[in-house]
Amino acid sequence: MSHITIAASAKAFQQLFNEVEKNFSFTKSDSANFGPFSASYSVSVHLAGGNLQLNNDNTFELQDVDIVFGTLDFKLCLDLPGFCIPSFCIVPDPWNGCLVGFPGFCIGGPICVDLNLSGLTSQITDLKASLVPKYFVDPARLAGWTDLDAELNGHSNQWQIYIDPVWVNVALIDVPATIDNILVNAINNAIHNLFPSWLPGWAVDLIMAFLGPIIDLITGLLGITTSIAEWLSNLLGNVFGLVALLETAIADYFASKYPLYQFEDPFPILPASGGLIPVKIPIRNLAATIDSQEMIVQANVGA
Amino acid sequence: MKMTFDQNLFMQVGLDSGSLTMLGGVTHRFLEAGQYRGVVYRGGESIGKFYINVDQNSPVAQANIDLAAFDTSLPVPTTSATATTCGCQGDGTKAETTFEVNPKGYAVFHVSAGAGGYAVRASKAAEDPKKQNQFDSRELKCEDIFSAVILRPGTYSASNGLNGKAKGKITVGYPKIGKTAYRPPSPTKVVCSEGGFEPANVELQPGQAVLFQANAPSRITLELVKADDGPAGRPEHTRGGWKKAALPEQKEKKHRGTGGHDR
Repeated sequence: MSHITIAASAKAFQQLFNEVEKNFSFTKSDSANFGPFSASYSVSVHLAGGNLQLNNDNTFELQDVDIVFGTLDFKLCLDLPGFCIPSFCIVPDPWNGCLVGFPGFCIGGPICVDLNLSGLTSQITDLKASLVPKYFVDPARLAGWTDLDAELNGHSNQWQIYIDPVWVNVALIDVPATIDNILVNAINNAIHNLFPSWLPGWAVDLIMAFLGPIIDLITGLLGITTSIAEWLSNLLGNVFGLVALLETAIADYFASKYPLYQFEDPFPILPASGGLIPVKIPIRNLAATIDSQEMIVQANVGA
Repeated sequence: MKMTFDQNLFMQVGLDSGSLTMLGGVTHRFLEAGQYRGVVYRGGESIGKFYINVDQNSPVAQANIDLAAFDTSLPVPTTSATATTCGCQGDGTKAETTFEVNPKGYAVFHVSAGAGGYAVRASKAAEDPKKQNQFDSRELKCEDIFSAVILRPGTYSASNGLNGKAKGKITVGYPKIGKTAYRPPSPTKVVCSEGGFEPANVELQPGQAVLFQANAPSRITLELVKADDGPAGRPEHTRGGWKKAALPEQKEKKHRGTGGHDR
């Protein structure tokens, strides 16, 4: 039988978890060349909300936690192939041939579009975890120090209770359908920027008509077979592997970066007073479990 | 890749058969064999001369004569395609040039670059004016053809400066971006006779040529009456620079889970 038993109600456990969740942050940037186009992104995310449920099998589950992309800058660069307008006839000859042609020209070269998608979200759809205690020996503690020396110097050893994820599932980034128009407009603007600035609007429209459905060609170039929103979500989530990176980062963060709860060892019972040193008891064999009602921490008083 | 265009293609709107620009050309047949001497004018000023040898033994059916090549204010073309394809016998410079053509063929006067404003006059070296077989692009006749292309959408008035009865209207539609690349349809023909234009009203697609055949003395002018700037609300063409894209609204949550991190 354990010497010490501490329990935290489900509500208290939720508050402890909120602190862990609040301190999560993840930043990442990457770029890749996919042949006909290249893309890069820069993200920073934090977590918010979610539903937490304690189970009788020594686990808890977390669902519907928002992964908020406080920053999501996406850049897409295309090496626009030479879309050429062949010369067309200005002065036709009497045999339906052509004597003088409108000079043919090509449009092409690199174009880049920047999309600021900050504010998009994904979700932790499901996270299952148990608890695991870890004993933390402060690396700054000097070898010859007593426990009292360590406390006085702020380098006490700690018992830490971490969340120990069993699985983490993150959904693909929720890119709304409105991104279709935004990307198309951005590409159109990038193409228009290739034209001389003096060119009147009707001439731009005429040239765009000559070019034909260039956006269709570009979406083909990008390999978009469904919607731009799905393509972008898949590119970021699966091709760049952002979903897997998030899952790993979340699991790693819960498991080792921010403990759910921690306390000093030896544990102070009475503070120093009247010239007497503090009274502290060593904690051994710490265990943290969960049932549907509460978190239970049990330990022995050691030598 | 930035595109470069000759601004004159897009900034010059009206056309005049007696003052040729890049968007208009004149076709003439020299029916009688012999040597013709031509003079090129910009405004009223002579800027160059050339010769056309009209020879029944010539295999050349068509002599393309670029009036801009006579204009010393324009840069010399880097290549001279006409020298090999049009019967041009000159050295491709802005100097005096000699062409040849079969009497059953055509001489085509056109402008390849620049602001234009050219006219041309050619006649045979003969003392008798009746035998000079004079041609003047400012007074088309004998089935000369003025070929015009109107790029700028809108409504134009057509008139013949040598025939007050000839009045017409040309409407050029606004370009539409379709499912296939747009190409202008075949040219439309208008006959200029003593009675006026036939037909008097013409509807064209942008870039579609209209051929005015001068069966009576003609100097065709086309003037923009009403511009068509496209559907209301179309965005102005401006250099966009950098703009922050509006944040897309999220309407509903999707749950498209992946395999997840599973320990």
